[in-house]
Amino acid sequence: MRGLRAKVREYYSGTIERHGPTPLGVDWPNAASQYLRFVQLLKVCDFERPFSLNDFGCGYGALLEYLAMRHSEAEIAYRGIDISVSMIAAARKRWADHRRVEFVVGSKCGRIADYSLASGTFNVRLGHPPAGWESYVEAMLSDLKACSRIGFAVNFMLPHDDIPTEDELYRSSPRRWVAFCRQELGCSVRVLRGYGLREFTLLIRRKPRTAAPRQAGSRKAARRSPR
Amino acid sequence: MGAFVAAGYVPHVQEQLNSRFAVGDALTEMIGFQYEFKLFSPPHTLRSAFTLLNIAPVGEQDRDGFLKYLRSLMKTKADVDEEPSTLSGHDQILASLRKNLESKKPMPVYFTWHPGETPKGIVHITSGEPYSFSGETYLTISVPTIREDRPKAGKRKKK
Repeated sequence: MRGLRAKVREYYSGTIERHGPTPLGVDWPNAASQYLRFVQLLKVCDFERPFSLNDFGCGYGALLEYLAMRHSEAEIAYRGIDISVSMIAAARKRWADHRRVEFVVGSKCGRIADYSLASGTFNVRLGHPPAGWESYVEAMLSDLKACSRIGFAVNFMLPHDDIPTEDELYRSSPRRWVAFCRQELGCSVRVLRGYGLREFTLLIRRKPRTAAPRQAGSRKAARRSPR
Repeated sequence: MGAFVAAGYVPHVQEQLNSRFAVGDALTEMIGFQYEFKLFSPPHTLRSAFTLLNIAPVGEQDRDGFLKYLRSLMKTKADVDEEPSTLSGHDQILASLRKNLESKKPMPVYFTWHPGETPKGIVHITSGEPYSFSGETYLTISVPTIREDRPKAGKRKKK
């Protein structure tokens, strides 16, 4: 896993150094497709109340641009995490005067927030065998769950109909990851697709804790309680 | 374009435009962008839409020239299927793209150019089959261009 992370770090440090804090710098073709992904991922959040947010694989903090554009009234405590030191340096420089914004270098979320998002972090596997990459994705999804009080959202690229998946990329059908999140993580999952991009988004929520079965004595107490 | 963007880069911009509106995933993306962001509707301009789509020449000078060119289309006229439009070339391109992307069966879009001198500066919008190797119908947008070696205003010989 350490070698894999080092390769990912090196790759994204290269993109930001080549293209600067732009969509190309985080390997997206343009701002429009980046924003369309944010639209889907943010559907996991309840904008009616203030919340805290982990943006895992935050790059130069493009999500903040989008939030300022579409949710300028929302009260969000934002924490961006990225494996690349160069990305975090670019993000800190760009968002230096913003309050309630923090950027940290890391390969895990590291702190609990109400919600966590990860946009495109599972797409580039850099030639790693799919099985090894899927173990990495499982570990990351488990970490996202552990660091999300309410829920988290991620996206994956869909396979092409008639072309095998490129060695550098990871593509998957929703079934594989819906099953993992439901069965292994015990979460509820909503799948979003058909929004214009060849990908799908998973909105994953922790299930509310079911109340422990009451003991015989407590039933009496419940009956006695005022209505 | 010519006068705004180095002639060598114009085909590159045309290729970017045509690939972003091509049949398949690219067109599906554009439909998604229009649905979610109303990318080709006011208050967006061609300049803001193409900037969001990262469609522009590579060099900074040519990029600026391209954005100036898009703005210059606000001063041109337009026709749709050979009928004169009341909108400027710029606004007619936006309106036609919007109508197409919001229609029940959006067409891919083919961008091309024609000499813009006579008649002066008219955007032509039609639908047809621009590629001899394909039976696909495209919304075709042809923009007026000026030769890059055209003498600048004031230096032209008066007839």
